[in-house]
Amino acid sequence: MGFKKIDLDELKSKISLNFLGIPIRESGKLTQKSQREKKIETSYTGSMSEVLILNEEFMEFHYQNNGIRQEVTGNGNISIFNNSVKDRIWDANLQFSGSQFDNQEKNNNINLGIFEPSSNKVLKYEIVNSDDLPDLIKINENIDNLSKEIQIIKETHEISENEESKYNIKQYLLLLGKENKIKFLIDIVNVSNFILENIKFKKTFIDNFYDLEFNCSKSKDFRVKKNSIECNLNELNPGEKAEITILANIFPKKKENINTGKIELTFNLPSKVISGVKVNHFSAYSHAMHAIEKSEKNDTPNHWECSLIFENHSDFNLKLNSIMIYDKTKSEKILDLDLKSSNTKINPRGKYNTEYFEFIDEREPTFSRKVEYSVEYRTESNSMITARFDDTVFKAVNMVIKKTLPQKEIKSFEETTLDSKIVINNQSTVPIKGVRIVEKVPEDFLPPSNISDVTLFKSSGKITFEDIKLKVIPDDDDPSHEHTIELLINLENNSSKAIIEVEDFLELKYPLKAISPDHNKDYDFPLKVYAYYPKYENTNAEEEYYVIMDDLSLDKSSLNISHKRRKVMVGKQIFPGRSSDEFAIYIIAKNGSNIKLTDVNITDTFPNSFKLISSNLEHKISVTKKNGEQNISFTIDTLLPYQEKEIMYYLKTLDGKDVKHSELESYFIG
Amino acid sequence: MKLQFYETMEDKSKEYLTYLIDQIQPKFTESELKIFLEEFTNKPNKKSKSSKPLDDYVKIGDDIAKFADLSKLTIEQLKIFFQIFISRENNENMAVRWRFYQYIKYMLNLNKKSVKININSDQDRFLDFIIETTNKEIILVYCYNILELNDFNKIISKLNDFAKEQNLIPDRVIIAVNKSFRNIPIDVPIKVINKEILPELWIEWIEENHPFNKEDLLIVNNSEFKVAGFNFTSTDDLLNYVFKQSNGGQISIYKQLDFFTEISEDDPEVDLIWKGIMLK
Repeated sequence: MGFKKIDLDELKSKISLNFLGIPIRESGKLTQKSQREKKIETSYTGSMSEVLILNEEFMEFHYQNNGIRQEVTGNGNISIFNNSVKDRIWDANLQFSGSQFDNQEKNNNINLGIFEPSSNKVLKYEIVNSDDLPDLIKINENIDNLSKEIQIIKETHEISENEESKYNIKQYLLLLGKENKIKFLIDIVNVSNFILENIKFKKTFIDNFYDLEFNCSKSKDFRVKKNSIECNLNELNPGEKAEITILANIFPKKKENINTGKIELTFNLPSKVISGVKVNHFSAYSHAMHAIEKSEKNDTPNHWECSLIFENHSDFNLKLNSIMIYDKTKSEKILDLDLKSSNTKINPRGKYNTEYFEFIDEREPTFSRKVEYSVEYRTESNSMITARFDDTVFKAVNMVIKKTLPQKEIKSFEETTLDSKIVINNQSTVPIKGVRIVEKVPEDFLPPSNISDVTLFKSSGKITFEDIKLKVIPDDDDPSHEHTIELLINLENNSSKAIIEVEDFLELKYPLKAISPDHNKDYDFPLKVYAYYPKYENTNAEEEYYVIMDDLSLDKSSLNISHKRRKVMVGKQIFPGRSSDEFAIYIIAKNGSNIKLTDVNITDTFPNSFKLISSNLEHKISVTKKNGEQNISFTIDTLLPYQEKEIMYYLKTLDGKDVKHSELESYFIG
Repeated sequence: MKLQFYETMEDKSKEYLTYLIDQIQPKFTESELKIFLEEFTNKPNKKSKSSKPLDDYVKIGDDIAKFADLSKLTIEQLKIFFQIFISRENNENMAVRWRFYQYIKYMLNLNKKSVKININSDQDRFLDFIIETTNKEIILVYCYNILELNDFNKIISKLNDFAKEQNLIPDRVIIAVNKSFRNIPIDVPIKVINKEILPELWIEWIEENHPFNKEDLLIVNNSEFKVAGFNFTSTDDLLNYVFKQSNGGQISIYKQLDFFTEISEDDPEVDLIWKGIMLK
């Protein structure tokens, strides 16, 4: 009814039906307590057993996404296996060297005690000088967004690869709300002096990517899993390179960063441990019998012919190291055999006899003897390496441009100043470093000629910005031909400060002068905005940019030119009244144009011998100083296009006498 | 694996079951059998509420030489024995505690002077054994089928009260379990009054691929003694028992395959499973 006291390490990490829950990874402290659960292949054939010493190292190299090594951690296990199914070994002693045993004594000699049949013991060690270990593999991942809308501009010199990795972290962009075709070009180079075997490549991918295509110079064995792509590269010789190309499409819908995908490589370094730990010697005893055969000579009594017999009673190969035989008082050395260099092997159930030596004794002689032997052993080593490469993110880019003119309409052939307003809204997850604005100003218009005419606003209010440049092509004041305005904002200096932060906007205002716009022409002001995003983060040497262009369609920026001309007619007619002292005056105002007329003022005069009886429209009467005639004025508020309006007023003589019609044909103003 | 489950056994005759139960080692004494049967088959030995907690503990196993007569056990009682000690399919707390009791009879380095067993049959019974050693050490033993963190915390919280009430400060606290969750903080000392004790977790350890089966007869040296394989769950377990029972020296252990489930041949084959020296 066996119970076993267990320690914390076993409770947390040992795989057994007795423990519930997920095992927690063991730490790398050196300990002799461990046992290896997984059995290894043994060369046991039923008649011969072996002791196998397996030195395995597990290393993890962690690299940043720019290839700089961040950390190396690892540990090693020296596992000693007694593969015999029946024979124990004991007094097992292991000598090893290497600088990895930080908590071991200097002689690195460990007594491992007894091994039961089919058992093992594991020595764990930590890799302590991991920073000094060389890189074994190098990965260079180049990611390109193949969308035509993204251009790359190199302002000055190209940045070399070394400079790139020294202080630059590449930025990667995705166009928001559009399909992006991404090309991942991954070079894997064996930079070690060893053959790397069983290389497994894995790149994690979010499931937003689709239409994946793969190509590898070393393998066609790609497996696509839910969130990763895996590929077996088999092996890489020293200096050899494997190139993996992955093409994938993605359509970002949300304004969020998307990971480019971590890369993980696992591989084996066969027959090698990179830390330099070495097993120097192992010795252990197993079942053997030794005796001294003593035969008294037939012809010479008291003369004994003696020989030491060594019998291997185990299934191991045993190696005899030394035999020393003294007389029983230990005063005389009779036999001293040093067999270490002669490689004296005794097979399972085999026997070894020394040469006979003669000993004279009246009684049966007894001896003092010491036999040193050990089981033979085999050593193997292996390293299992994991190299992890961090990923970075694709940043989503999107800008919204808006252009407005306060005057939607201007009059033909009249000089008008338009206040052009352009708003660029940054809806990306990355700031816009600088912008280039190109607007075509058509003939009959003139662009601003001075940079002081351009004003800039952000969410914080009006800003004064020195790094702004205005180019007008051609640089003249001739409105008979087209001009191009080019505004460069924050593109000249090397400041890392962005012109439009995330969620912010930039508003530009500048005047456009309409000189003699012709209503028969269609004027368009095509606008292109180029947003500049640095290709590298955290650097002052921003010579390379991703440039994304957006333009405004014609409808958004076109201007209406109105051509409006007036045509008015005002007529007067006099009618006699019921009696001869009465008259009716009829005035008609006709708007014969297509424009609305307002405040149409009509004035008539009549002699002072008449008095006004009534009118159908509000009027004003005044007396002229000159000849005492009376003025009557009417105001028509509005006359719509092609509208007529009638005015009637009645006059009567003051004295009741008849008047001539001609007296009323006075001067008429209207 | 013919002794794996009671229900799958072909022969459930009283004679055969009695024969198997008679092979359980170490053997039950009369007093042990009495307590065992009371616990499992007879009316529970309930104490009145007013009785002191220590009244629940009675000495067990003092009658070393008086081996129990198992021939009068009923089929039902034999079945309980079988399921606890042979097939070990019963893993209730009570089964674990009786198997642990069997184990402490040959546990190495435990110089036990007396063992007291808790005979209170309440469901929330607290503490299974109080062991006193010849070195005057007090060991408290708790037995569980599956040890969860809640159980562990319950032990800790009640332990202090128990120690104060009984004026009994333990030197060791053993929790013997069939299975345990991994989150038991056995590296954190328990404070009992003013004494800090590191709790010990003992697992009912079944060695994978151990060199004998339940059905095998294990023969020590040249028939110095024989014992049934189902008594042991690992090689270490067997060796501890042999160490206790033998005179030491050169020891060879052989197994006779399927001795308890197959008809013996005239000249059965035996295989050596362990050879070594035990110094006593």
